[in-house]
Amino acid sequence: MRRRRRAKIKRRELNIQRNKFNPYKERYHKRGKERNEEIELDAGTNFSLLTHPEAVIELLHRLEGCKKVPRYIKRIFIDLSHIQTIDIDAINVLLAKINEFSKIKRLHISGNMPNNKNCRELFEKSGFLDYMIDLSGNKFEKKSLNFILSIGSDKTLNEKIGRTIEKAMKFLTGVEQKYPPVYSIVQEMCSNSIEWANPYNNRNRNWLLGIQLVKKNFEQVVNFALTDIGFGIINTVYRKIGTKFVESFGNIDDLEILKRTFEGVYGSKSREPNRNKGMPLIKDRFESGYIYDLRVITNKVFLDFSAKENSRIIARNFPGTYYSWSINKKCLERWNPK
Amino acid sequence: MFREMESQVNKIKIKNDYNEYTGPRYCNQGAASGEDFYHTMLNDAFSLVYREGKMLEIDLDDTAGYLSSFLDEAFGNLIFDFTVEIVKPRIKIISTQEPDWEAMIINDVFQDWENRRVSNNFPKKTEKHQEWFRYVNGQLTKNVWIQQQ
Repeated sequence: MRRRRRAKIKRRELNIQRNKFNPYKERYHKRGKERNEEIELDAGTNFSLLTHPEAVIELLHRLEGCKKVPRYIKRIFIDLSHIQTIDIDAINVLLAKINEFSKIKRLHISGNMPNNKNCRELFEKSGFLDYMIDLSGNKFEKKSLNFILSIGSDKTLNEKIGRTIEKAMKFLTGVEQKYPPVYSIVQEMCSNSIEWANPYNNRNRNWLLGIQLVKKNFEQVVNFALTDIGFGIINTVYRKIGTKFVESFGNIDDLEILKRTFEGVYGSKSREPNRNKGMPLIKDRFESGYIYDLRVITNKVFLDFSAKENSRIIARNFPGTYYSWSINKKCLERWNPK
Repeated sequence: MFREMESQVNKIKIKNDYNEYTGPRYCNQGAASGEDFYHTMLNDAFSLVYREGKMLEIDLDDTAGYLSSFLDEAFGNLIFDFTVEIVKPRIKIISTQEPDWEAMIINDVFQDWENRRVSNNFPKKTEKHQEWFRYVNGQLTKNVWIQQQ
């Protein structure tokens, strides 16, 4: 009886002690809903996917890492102010990555614009700001005809893509018109992505089709950029075990594997003999001159079809596939001489 | 004479009769797929010309464009159900805007799918389809030959 009473007193004393002010506990308490912290990511000075892919990919990886931050971190701030070189390609992949965060409601992404005048102008005209709001919650004013089309879906969006291409063609010809080579290319890229993506994550496909209308040397050019944040071609291409074995002895690196994929050397993942016509078709449309400046970045490979000396293995893994190409009036004339 | 020949040909213009914006290979990948085109239009159209002893002309021009897999699945299934021997002399493909599609269908798709047919490598169906025609033991028979996977 006495022992039970003593235990009761001891427990009461312990409870009193636990209720005293505890600085550690106070700090811990703040880790709850009240704590509101921010992570700042600096994009650096070179934000160009084609000339400094590693720097851009590094930022994508750091953004990816932010998905696993503790819950008290509520905001991510992307500092673009120091950028001295920028390209539309880097802006596209950044937007594709930021788009992924739209599904993570607890994290808000904000940022600033480059201080450099030229970079700022390119950034404002890219179509990136169409997806952003200013600090007052208003949409930004559109400063160019360029646009970035979000086509993230588990289905190919035929009509949406077709009509977008028709609108872009108006810049070259003055009238909206179809251009089947580009439609085929975009659809091939999207359908590949749909078919071989993770079936459990298929509804959250994240592609962006960026279209930039520019004048280069008194000539009108339409630049296309398709970003697919996912696994990348090298990680999904199907190679037989025997082929892998032979290639490992033949010093075949990822760059060569990607080139071979576009040549249709490897079979399809489905192992059906009638498959694997899509990637060679993309290469064929380039070689026929219907498009030019075709570039592909996927996993650790940068493949430039126009300037082969630019093709190389890059230091960081690009989490997905990025294609860019251009068309001008000459391409149209080659496709349809009439 | 010309009119006589004309009446021997049934025509499908994909832009007008099916869809201007054609899609991917399978129904579960998007609208206006090759699988859908085959089951809603091409199978019936070809079985009709076979029974009437006519030709089927398929005009690929004036659409937004094609995926290789759309054409592969549509014309491949035709070979799988009717054999290359029956299909090849009864079909004419018009593709003046992109002549390589015609070459691909005749040279690659027909041969690949004939090999597939011989080796009984059945095509995938991603949607439930109504009964369709197949050439079996010298005659056309209508059935649901492959179930949705």
